[in-house]
Amino acid sequence: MEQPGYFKALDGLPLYGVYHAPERAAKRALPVVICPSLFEERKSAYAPLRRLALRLQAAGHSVLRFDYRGSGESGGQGAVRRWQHLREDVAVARKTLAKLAGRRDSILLGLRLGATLALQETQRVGGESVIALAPIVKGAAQVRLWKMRSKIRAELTEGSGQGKSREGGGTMDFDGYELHPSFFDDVAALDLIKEAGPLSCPSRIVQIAHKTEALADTTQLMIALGPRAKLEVLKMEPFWDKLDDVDTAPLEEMVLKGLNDI
Amino acid sequence: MADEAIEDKVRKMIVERLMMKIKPSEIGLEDDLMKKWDADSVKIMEIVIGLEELFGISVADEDFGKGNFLTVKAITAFVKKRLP
Repeated sequence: MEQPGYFKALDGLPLYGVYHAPERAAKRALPVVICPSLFEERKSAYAPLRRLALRLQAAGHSVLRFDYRGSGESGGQGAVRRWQHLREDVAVARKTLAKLAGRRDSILLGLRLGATLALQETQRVGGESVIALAPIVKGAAQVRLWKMRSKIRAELTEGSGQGKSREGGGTMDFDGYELHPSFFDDVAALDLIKEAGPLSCPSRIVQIAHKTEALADTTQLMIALGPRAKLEVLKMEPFWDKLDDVDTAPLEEMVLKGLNDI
Repeated sequence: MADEAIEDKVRKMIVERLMMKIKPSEIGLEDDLMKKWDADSVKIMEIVIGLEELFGISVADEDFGKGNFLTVKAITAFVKKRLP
């Protein structure tokens, strides 16, 4: 059963969440908070992450999916949201799941920006485990890609008024999403390789790319995260970038197996 | 590097990066990647990153908006200008 509802962010803003209560909770099945991505990635990954949540639920895990402030069904405006707010929302989501599931231990499972947030939160307060799907390792490189994509969209949709990013009036427009003018600076400042230290809990970093070899950034991240971090490589289309639904069954299997191994 | 060599590398990279289930030779030199091969902004972005990695070149902001990445022919001309 999926139970939609709202919980409060640190400053009282309503955050939307969907709680998946297992029919029969398995003691070994740790509760899981799913930290999504943002912008168009969030939209494209919505169905795959929901499917993942349903499979985890069927396997006995309590699961909470949620929207950060200023996104999806949550309150708040993207125009005032900074990276720190996202971090706070993840922390609150975790506490909310603890109350719903009736137990304090949990796993953060994040995708893209959500994976970066999950790793940061786990480094901050610890946890039983963390699963990071295609984390954004170097924020500056990601911001460059976003801006590049915006320009390409503008070129491909020339004259249609779509695909342009604009600044002005105290906010920034990124492909139709309003951002705080410093949000990109916040992301550009991220560097998981420099800021990460060895994790104290078993973790999974999942590289999802067109090749089976580890990418350079991934390799460096694994070194920084230490021996308790295990790399899984999945040759798969980046489903968070696709308009059509992608078969993510291999990812679901990998996640379930990883959770069983913890 | 000869044009043909660049074209072959570009085709192969496109097929690999976009995980296309075709042979690289099936991409025509003047095929509009958007219209014929369903390349959207994300796929073009992947191609641009692929070019940077494959040829060791840098793509600047001003290189966009000029059709530099819409056909193998245009991509080859772009790469050739930037190779040492």
